[in-house]
Order: sequence, then C-alpha cells, then structure tokens
Amino acid sequence: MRPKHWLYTIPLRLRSLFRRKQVDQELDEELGYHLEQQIRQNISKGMSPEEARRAALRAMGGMQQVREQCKEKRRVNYIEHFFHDLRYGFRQLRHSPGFTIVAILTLALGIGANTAIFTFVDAVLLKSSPYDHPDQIVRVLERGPRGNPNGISTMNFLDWKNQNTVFSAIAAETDGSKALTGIDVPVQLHGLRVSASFFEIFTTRPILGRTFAPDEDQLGKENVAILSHRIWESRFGSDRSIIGRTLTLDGKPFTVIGVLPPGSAFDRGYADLWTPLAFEPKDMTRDFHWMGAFARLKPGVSIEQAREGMKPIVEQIAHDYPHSNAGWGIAIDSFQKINVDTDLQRALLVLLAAVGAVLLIGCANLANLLLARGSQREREIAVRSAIGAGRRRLIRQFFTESLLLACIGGAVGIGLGYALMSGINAALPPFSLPNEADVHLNGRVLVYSVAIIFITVILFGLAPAIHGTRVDLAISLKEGSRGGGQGKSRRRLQSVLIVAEVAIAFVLLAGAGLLIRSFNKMQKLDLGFEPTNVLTMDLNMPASQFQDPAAIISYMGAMMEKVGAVPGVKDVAVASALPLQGWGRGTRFRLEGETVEQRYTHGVGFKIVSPSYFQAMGLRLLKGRALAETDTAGGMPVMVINEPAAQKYFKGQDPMGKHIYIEQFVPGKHERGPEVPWLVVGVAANERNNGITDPEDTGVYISYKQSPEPGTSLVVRSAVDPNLLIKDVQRAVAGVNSNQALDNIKTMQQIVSENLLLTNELMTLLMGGFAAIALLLAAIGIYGVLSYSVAQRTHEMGIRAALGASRWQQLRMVIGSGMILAVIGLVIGFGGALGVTRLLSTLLFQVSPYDPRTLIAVGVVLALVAMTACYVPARRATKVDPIIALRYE
Amino acid sequence: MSKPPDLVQGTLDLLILKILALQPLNGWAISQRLKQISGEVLQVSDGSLYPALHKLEQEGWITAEWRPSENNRRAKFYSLTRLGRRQLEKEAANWDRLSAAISQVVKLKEA
Repeated sequence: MRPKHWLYTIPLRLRSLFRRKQVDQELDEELGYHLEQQIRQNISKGMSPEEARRAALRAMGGMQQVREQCKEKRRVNYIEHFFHDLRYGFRQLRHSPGFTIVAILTLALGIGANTAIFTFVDAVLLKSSPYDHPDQIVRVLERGPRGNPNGISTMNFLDWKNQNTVFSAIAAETDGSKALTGIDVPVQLHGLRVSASFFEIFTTRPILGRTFAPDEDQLGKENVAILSHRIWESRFGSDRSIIGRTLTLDGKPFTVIGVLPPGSAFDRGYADLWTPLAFEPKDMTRDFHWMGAFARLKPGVSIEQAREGMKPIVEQIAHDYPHSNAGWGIAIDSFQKINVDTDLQRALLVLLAAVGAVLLIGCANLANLLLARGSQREREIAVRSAIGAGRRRLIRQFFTESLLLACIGGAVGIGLGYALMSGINAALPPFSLPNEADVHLNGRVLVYSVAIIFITVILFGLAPAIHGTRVDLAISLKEGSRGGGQGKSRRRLQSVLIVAEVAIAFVLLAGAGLLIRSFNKMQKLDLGFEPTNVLTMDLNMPASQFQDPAAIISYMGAMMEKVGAVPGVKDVAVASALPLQGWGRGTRFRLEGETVEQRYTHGVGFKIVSPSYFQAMGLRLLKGRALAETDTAGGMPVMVINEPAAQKYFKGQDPMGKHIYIEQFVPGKHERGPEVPWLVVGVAANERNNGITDPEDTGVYISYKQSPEPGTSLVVRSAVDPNLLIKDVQRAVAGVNSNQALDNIKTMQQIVSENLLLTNELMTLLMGGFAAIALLLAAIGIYGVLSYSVAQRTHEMGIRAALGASRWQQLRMVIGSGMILAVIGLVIGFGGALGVTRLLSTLLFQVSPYDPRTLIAVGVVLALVAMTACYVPARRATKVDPIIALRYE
Repeated sequence: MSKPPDLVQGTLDLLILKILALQPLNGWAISQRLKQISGEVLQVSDGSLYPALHKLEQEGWITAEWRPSENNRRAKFYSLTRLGRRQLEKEAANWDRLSAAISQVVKLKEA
C-alpha cells in the first residue's frame, strides 16, 4: 500500500483501539442524530411522535445490528473482540470450576508429556551435531573374517593412515584411564589415548591452553594431557594455573596443556583425560586389535568413495600379511548414524507416539466436554445472536475460550514437562544417551510446545465451535426448551470421539502391557550367577609397571589375601571382566583337528579369573570342575567354557577332555605367543557377558596363573550388605599398595540394574504411565458423555419408568448405549494394536509383539474400566423418580 | 429479516463518493440527498448507509469532522479526501464501462 494511505488510516485504527469509548460514543451520537432528524421529518409529515419514532427505527432496520456492522468496519474489531472474548472466557471458566480443572489438567498432562519426550527426541535425534561438517566424520574399524566390525591393529592403522587418499585426518583411540597419584587418595581418571589429530576431527576449541600439536603423538613427546572442564572444576577447583602443571598419571609425569569447554559433548562423556596415543615398538603388530578410530572425510568425498578408496590398500595388506590379515577388511560408517543406538531411537519414537496418543485422547475428551457444554449454552448463544452477534463472531468467541484453556493448560504443561524431563534425566543410567545429546528445555522445545498448544486448540475447539454456534433461534429461545436442536449430529460426533478414544487407549495399553511383560521376564531371567551381596571394583594396573608374569600373579594374590581377610568378606576373586559388561578380551581359536586357517572363523570371549571367581560370583557349573588353585603356571593348561560355546562348537558332543588351541597372550605386549592346547575341564552357565540380546555369547575362563595380564576387577562376595564393606576393602587395597587407585566401585546388583533393568524399567514405567493416563481419560470420556445424555434424558426415563420399565431394564439400556461404543473402540483398537505393536519388537525381550495373553488382558481391563464408567451414570438413571422427572416439565 | 434488494455491489460506495464530491455532508443529509436524486428507484436503507460510510472512512477515502449542523446540533460531516477523489474517478470509469456493456447487451434485438 502507498504510504499516503497509511497516513489516513493508521491514526484512525489507533483511535478505534485506544479511544474506543469515545469512538463508540461518537457512533451513537451520529446514529442518534440521524434518528432524531428522521423523527422530526416524520412528525412534520403528520405522524404522532410515537408513530414517528417507530417508523424511524424501522427505516434503520435494527439499531444494534447497524451499530455492530459499523464497528466491524473499523478493522480493529478482531483485536478488540479478542480481549472482550478473553474476559468473557475467563468468566465462563470461573463459572464452572469442575470443567475448567478437568480440562486444564488433561491439557497439562498431554502437553507436559509431549514437551518432556520431545526434549529428548530433540537432543538425541534432531539437534545438529556440535562438530563442524559432522557428515564428514566417520568411524573406522577393521572388519573381521565373520563380517563383524572389530578393533584395529597398530600396523594396519599406520598403513591406512599413510596410504589413504580419502581422509583429511584419521585418529586412533583406545582406553587411556590412568591413576592420578601424588595426592591424598589415588584416583582413577577415566580417559582416552588418542592420536594428535583427534580434536581436528571432533572440532573443539579448549577454553584454556591448547589441544595436541601434530607431533605430540610421537614417542618422547607424548607426556601431555588435556582435561575435561568437569574434572578441572571438580578436582582442580577451576584453577587457571593448571596449564603447565605436572600431574603424576600411572606413575609418570604429564604436563597439562589444555582444558576443554564446559557443557560440550566432552563434558558429558566417560572420559575426563585425553593423552596422546604414541606407538611403542611393542605395539607394532598386525594381530592385536586394540584400537578404534575416527576419521574426517576430505571435502567432497562420500562414504561410498571412501570405502572404494580404501579397498586396494586393505587388499594389499591382506595379500602381504595373510597370516594376520587374510579375510580382514575395513568398516567405514557415518559417525552420526552409529552414534545413536537404534534401540534408543526406537524407544524415543515409540514414546513420542505414545504421548501424541495421550494428547489426542485428551483432545477428544475436551471436544466431548465442550460439545456437551455447548448444548447447555444454546440459550446463551441464541440470545447473543439475536442481539446481533454473527456466526463468525460466535465461532471466534468459542475459539478464544478454547485458546484460553489451551494456554493455561499449556503453561502448566510446560512446567510439568520440565519436571518430567528432569526426572527422566536423573533416572537414566549414566551414559545412556550419546555424549552429543544436550538435554535442555531450549527455545526449539518451547516452540514445539507452543505449536502443540495451537494444534490442540484446533483439534478440540473446532467441532464444538461449529456445533455450538449452529443455533435455531426459534427453537432455542422457546421457554422450557431443553435445547438439543441438533442433538443428533452432536451425539454422533460424541460417539465417534468415544470410539476413537477407546481405540487409541487400547493400542497404548497393549504397548505398555507388552513392555511390562517383557520387563517381568527380564527380572526373572536366569543370569547364570548370583548378583546379590557382591561388591565389584576395577583395579587398574599400569602395563608399564607390571610386565613380569610372576609379579602380576603375586600382586593379585596379595590383593585377594588382604581383601579376603576383611571381616564380612566371604569370597574374593579377580576377573578380567564383569558379567554384563562384555568379555573385555576376545580371541580366535581352533579346535582339535582343525587347520590353522580355520581359526580365523572362530571367536570367543577370553576371561582371565582366579579359581575363586566361580564361588564369589556364584557362577553355576553345569559340567566337570571349576578352575582350581592347583592349575598353575607350570601345570597343564586348562579352561572352563561357557554353555553357548559348548553348544556352538561342540554341537551335542561332550566338550570335556577336548582341547582348544589359543595363542598365548603375552603380558604388556601386543603380540601373541605360541599356540597353547587348553584342556576343557568344565562347562559353566551363561553369565550373559554381552547382555541378554547376544544369542552367541560364547566365551572361556582361564586361570590368572596360567595367563597373567595386568589389570583386573575385584569381586567380593559378602555376608552382609556389600556397601558396608567399601571402606574396609579400600583400606585393605591401600595396605598392599597405597598408590593403587580403585574405580567403578559398584555392587553387582547395581550393574545388573544399570545394564538390564534401569533403561527398560524407565521405558516400561513411562509407557505404563502414559497408558494409565490414556485409560483414565477414556474412562472420563465415556463417563462424561453418558452422564450428560442421562441428564438430558431424565424426562424420557421418567416416562419409561411410569410406563413400567424396571430398574434393570433402564440400567441395561444406559450401559448398553455406552458399552456398544466401547466395544467398537476395542475392536478397532485391537486391529490397530496388531498393526502397531511390531514397532516394539526390538525392544521386547522374549515376548512376541502379538502376545495373545497381553492383548486379551488389555482388552479385559479396558472393558472393565469402560463398564464402570458406564455403570455410575446408569445407576443415576435408575434412581429417576417418575413423578419428579415429569413434574420437572 | 427481509431487507430491500441491495444495490449492485459497490454502487452505494460510488454514490456516496459522488455526493460528497459536490460538498461535505452529514449522514442524515447524505441519506436525504440519496433519496432526492435517485427518487424511489434506488432504495438505500438507512441501515446500510452508515456501515458504508464507516468503511469508506476506514479506507481513507473520506474523512469526518464534527461540526454544528443547520439546526445547530453537532453532526458528523464527511468530506472527500484526495485518495477518495482518485477512487471516485476509478469507480466512475468502472461504472461507465459496466453500464455501457450491459446496455449493449440489453439492446440486442431478438432474431
């Protein structure tokens, strides 16, 4: 528009808005003047004053309408009306507090649950990566002969690094946890050893100092360290003079060169310490796969091209070194893809769908309540339209009231959502989300919540607004009208909403039911060991200090002896890995009578334990004997294999007395010694080292005396609550070596809970909670609609009773009218559940997504709840006294 | 409610603009002038006059001013703005074209 135009109109609009009283008064004056002149003219034509006035009004055709029409031309009406409607809406809501509270709670629950879950979806799945060009970051691993991604050996890594043309940088990574000593109590700092280019790949600027210089992963220059902001704050008091200070890590001096930024992905990870990964001569092998790697693709290089580009290099290595590399390849995957666990992704999407369903049911409920209210307000609406309110104006008023409800409900809901999000965050086991996921109620989440509020207004406000304003004045204004001018179409709509609610509730309940059953099975799972009253902790032993096998054996022996002497300790053992936390170490092997080549296709977990491990962990022996103290370094090499290994590799034959050939591990060296024929002396139960989903959790147990390696976990079975022993055990360990750091002090119960139960429990709890809300809402929906219809039909009930209908017949009629909707909903919901529950299949443990028992149970529960919701209003119907009901007219 | 048949859409605006182009008038006077010049042919109900006036005012085509009327009562006098004059020219030209076209059609002889 031309600016000139605005010159005229803007002051007018502002005046209409802010001097409304005066503008209205002027309008009245203007119309009044006209009326007066007309009357005067009429009188002069010979009419009586009365007649003249009536004729003048008639000529105007309804003063009020004209006034409204004039006001509408002001173009600021909608703003003015909005505030007017808002005030009116507030009054309406105050008038019916019961309705208001139910409506606001329903919306708050729906919007709150959506906000909370979306916060996680946003953080884990939607938020862009904190790194520059995240699509260029790839994870690089070797691909084992069985097609599985596997760790990388030093020499292979170096060949890749030096010969490739596809990566701008490639960095290896391996565990770099180190004991920090020279302070009161030595602590184990969780850390990583990484190539110098690591922080080039995961673009990060330190807030203090610097990251690694390109040559700092060369031998002799590697004694520098970078700290996480978290540990800098908690252990070093945010002391800025930390840069340049020397720390004693695993007995060696390291200079601190940098501190990473707060709130970054590095502050949410496991590691607090990064040191350069410099390769020593002993590391230079091709058959010890001990590292992971990340790389950055050169600009313009796709993952496909990278795989193609690496192929000739990998093939050349396999050709040149068949002994170690025949059958081995390379696995290159997008970091963004592998970073989010597919089960986590699935769980989040399922939860998002669940809260969406809860909100839908809530909206259906509100629509129902508003429809019922609309019929009660028919008179009011009729009066308003009689005095000049247009249909659009009325619809706008209905919507304003809905918007008011949604905004209050939404505000409460966002608060509720924040609380729920914090609760979930606190209950999540550590490191269950990717480090990159920064869970916060941020602006995006708020935008989402507000969008949801507006969508709900349309969902629950539209139908009541359209229905409520369709008023036939002649009928509605009649004295004694009970309304219901268009009751039929409203009833049909209400029925459809009830059916939909029940159907959606069924699907949600089915999902929750399946998860609950799955969780039950998980709780009752035979773990193969006895987790109660077991304390565990990691006892790191720097390889640099423990190279002599005899020293390792005697150190572990001394530890067990001292800790075993603590009062309350029943058994003590060492183990290279704990149940449910992986085997830690794996190896290829061959069976008796197999060729050396065949060993490339077999792999088992390799757990080094003290013979007391079986006793201390309560690991059940299925066959033969456990390892014994007499199985010593010089004696015959023996092993216990686990049940899955016995089944997989001995298929029905008795493994006892057979030999398994495994190359010797050499302490502190990354190369394998000669093949050792291990004699199988026993078969142990499956202690589920790789969790419960790995169907081939094969592994073997070897005595620490026959294959000593530095570094172990301590397993303590106690006669009392294991938590009470922590202090004494720590003291006993310090008694052997005051520089020995202890790490991850946890009870076995805790490990079981964190690994198996906690995430599943949380998921089950959330789904169960959402399903319960859905059930409650559906029940409220049925109850509300039926109560309303019973109230409407009081008159009819009275006549029926007067004509001799028995109470039972009345009861049956009302219940029947509600249950027919519930049953239709059940049938639709059952079909829906069959279609949808398979999305859960990867999240379920030993439960089919079509589990008939669950689906039937869910149907029964829902039917019973629906029945109860029908019964209460039905009983009210039977209490109708025909005399009162009829006299009421 | 039965209303007298409405004027062709927009014609009322044109009439008002034209009347005000001659001199500023108040609402009552406009309604009288309308009756006067168009006789009984164009029935403009008083009810539709005022919304039309307010619309034209909001468009910026006419502007209002409170002045004493002939009988010394305060009345709201409308006058044409420069934008309104331009609008009048446009609408008058439109009307000419439309009425010419329609009379062409009406004059067609039956074959």
